[in-house]
Amino acid sequence: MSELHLRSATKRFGALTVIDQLDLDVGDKEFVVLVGPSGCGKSTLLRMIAGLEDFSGGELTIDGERMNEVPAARRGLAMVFQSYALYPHMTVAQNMSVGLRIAGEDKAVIAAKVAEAARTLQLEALLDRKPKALSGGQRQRVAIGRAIVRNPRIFLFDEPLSNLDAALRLQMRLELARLHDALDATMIYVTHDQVEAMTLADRIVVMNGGRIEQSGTPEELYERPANLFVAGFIGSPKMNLIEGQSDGNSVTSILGTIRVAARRGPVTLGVRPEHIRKGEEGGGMTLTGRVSAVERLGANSFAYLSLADGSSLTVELAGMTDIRPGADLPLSIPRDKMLVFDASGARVSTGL
Amino acid sequence: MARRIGQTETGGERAVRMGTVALFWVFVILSVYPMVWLVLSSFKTSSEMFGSAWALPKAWRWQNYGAAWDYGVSQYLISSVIVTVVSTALIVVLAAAAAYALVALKLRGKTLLYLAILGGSILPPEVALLPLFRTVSALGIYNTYWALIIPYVAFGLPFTTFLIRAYMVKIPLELAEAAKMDGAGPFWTFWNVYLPLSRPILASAALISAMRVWNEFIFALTFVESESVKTVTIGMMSFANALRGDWAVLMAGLVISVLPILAVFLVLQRQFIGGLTQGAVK
Amino acid sequence: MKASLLSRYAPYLFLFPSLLLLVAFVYAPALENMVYSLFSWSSVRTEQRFVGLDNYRELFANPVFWRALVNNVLYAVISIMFQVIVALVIAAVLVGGIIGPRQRTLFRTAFFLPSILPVTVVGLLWQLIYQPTIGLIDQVLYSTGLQGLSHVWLGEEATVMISVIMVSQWQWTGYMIVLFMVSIQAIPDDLYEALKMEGANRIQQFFHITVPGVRESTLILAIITIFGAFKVFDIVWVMTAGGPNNASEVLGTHMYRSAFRNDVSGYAAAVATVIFLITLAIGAVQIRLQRQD
Repeated sequence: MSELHLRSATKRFGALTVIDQLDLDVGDKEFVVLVGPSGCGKSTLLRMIAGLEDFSGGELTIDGERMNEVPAARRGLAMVFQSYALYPHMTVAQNMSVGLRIAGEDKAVIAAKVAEAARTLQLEALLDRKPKALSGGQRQRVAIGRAIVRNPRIFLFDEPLSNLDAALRLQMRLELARLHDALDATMIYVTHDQVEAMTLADRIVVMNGGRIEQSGTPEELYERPANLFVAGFIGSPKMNLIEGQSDGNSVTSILGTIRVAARRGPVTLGVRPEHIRKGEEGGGMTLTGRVSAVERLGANSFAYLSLADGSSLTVELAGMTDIRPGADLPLSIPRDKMLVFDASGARVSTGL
Repeated sequence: MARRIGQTETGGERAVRMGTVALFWVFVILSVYPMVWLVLSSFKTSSEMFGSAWALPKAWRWQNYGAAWDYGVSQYLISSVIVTVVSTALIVVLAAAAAYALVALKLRGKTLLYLAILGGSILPPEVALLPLFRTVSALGIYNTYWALIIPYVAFGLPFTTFLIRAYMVKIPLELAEAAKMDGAGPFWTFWNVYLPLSRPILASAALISAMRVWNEFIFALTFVESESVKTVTIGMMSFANALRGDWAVLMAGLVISVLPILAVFLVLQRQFIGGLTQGAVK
Repeated sequence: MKASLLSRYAPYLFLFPSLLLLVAFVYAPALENMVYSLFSWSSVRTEQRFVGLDNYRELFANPVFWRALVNNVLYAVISIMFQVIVALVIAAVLVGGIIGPRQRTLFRTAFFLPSILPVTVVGLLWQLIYQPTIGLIDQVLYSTGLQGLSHVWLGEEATVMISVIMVSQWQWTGYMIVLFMVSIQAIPDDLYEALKMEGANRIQQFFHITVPGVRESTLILAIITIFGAFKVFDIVWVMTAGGPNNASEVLGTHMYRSAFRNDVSGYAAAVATVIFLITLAIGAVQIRLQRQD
């Protein structure tokens, strides 16, 4: 059982408030990903949980016990750092056993635990090497191994994949997911990469400006973003956002008019590139845009269009499309895929 | 900008290059010949030394060295070695500890504390000399090795702390944080992470400190008076006064007093220059 | 709670020995010295009499003090010429590619070597080199028929100071060359190459790239040089002890003689305070420059 609760967690650096009255609950064995743009406070929050930063206010409890004053090492946590933080002058085995050696653990116990972690991570052949002699992915695994050896209640990850190249990142992502299943452990993971968040998380927490914008499963965040910020942050390429006007009962924009009960005034309409269809079939709202650029990725393509009022629209097309820039492209958008955000940025229920 | 291979040289360029190289050889002679003369003279008789400055000794008089050694140079060397080793060890350990705290630990008023240490480097020893003389007397350490070691350490700390700190700043802070997560206290992290990782700069710092202590003059002139405690720099003054007239033996004594640092320098030239330049040019 | 108390104060424990030593043996004596300068006292008379600024009045009325100060300024000016300007040019030529890498290393070591010698060795060695008639210099002058230029280098008031100063240049110019070489080597190659593409010659490269590129280190090295010139003591004490007739007196030797030979400690403290104020001004500039980096 490992549960973690933050209540009104606050962090100030001088006059600057980095974390503002934040509440967060992490359940047992949950994989929670904190995601947000740089400077949103996600790393600071993780470091507060870890015990590397003090709280300016609020409370952290783990399994019901207040942790604010407990030193980092005695919170029962292990952290994997962005740079891996491996000691360059120690071997892999020594790196993995530092915590146990400091704790004065028995030599035989240490050896057994290191061997077990090495087996889990396929590091057995590398135990006597120094970090310099390892590849990026291997170093990453040693850093994780160091965490595993301590048998923590909760694993903390601070942007662990950001130093790896794209191919390795994919591989490590799969490995982390497998590890979460195998260890059956609670994990809190910080990243600025929404793809990592989408693929790894049981629950994603989107942060912005020291607050939580939305917390939910990847599906929830993708399908039903709570506000414009989440809508724009989750999904690649970004959701199309189009200015509109609400008269109280219906919303009018360059895309046409749909019936939505939104407060009178300016609104924003959102639709994901893959929900827009080529041609006029499908019975949604129809419009035509001029193609300004095309990116062909193989399995799919993206067309960037400009609309009559000068606003732009991204459309996902299947396969290697033969549409060229300059062409006029007729489109249709299913009404039920349309999201509406009011002037404050909050999503207006459209009956989904 | 090194010369690119395959670049051809015009006649004019060649003349410039030859001229420059020739000029530099003149500089080398100006720089080195006094030392060569010192070594050559140390093997001559005094009259031979002044009579034929450029000639090799007619007979290599090793006995000059024996005479110089017996005249007390050996005692000065022992004092210098003791003072240098103890001072250097203390300077490096204390400076490394201070640098570590300034870099890796949470401190209130870090900048102020750093300036408090760094500020010592702008105080010339002359300014503190008179009061220090009284302090040393009051502590009852006048005319002992400690009368040199303690002021050397105090005056050596600012620059050495600056040097080591500049290096430790480049060690990722995450290593200290990882150690903290692993339950390490500040002493463990200092001893097991920061010290081993700072080894190159510690070597340079030790070398520079040792060189400075070995060559120090004004404290050694003021705080000790017995021949048995005098270091080489001051000992050679008494030695020279005692030997007025027997120049060749004096030269031999001078050579002996230089040999230890010369040997250290030639072996560790790279670390030495590396450390100096890190400290001065940044 | 004991452990956490220890860990709370541990950071200060690391700094404590250093700070204690600095306060007790550097800062406190420097301040004490200022207090001393307001008293008339000596080591034979135990009683100290407060005299206000009398020591300073005496100081400013003493021609030897002014002689010493002028000598320090001369020391600084000549040191800047050799250890900054000449050293920079020589370093630029050494790095500049006219001289091959192996010769460069040889030259560098040869130039650097004098700086590792103890000052006593340098002083005594040059005393012999400067010996009239039999010393190395006069032997060279005589053998080249230039004996007319011969002097009692360290015995004549006109030549003694410059002779001592030149020994310092001999010892330290090479050291500064090495520091400048490192600084120049840190300038990116492509800056030179871009200028070469525009047809600039070596002298233009020196003024347009090298000089601006080492501006900051030059400033700091110049300050260190001036600093050294105002606190100089050892080489002068070894070679001339300020003589003959105070002709080679500098502030350091003036202070030392007053304190430990003439036993006018209050006056000596006043001289030391003047040295302190001069170096403080220089040091303030240095710290400001280093913190800008």
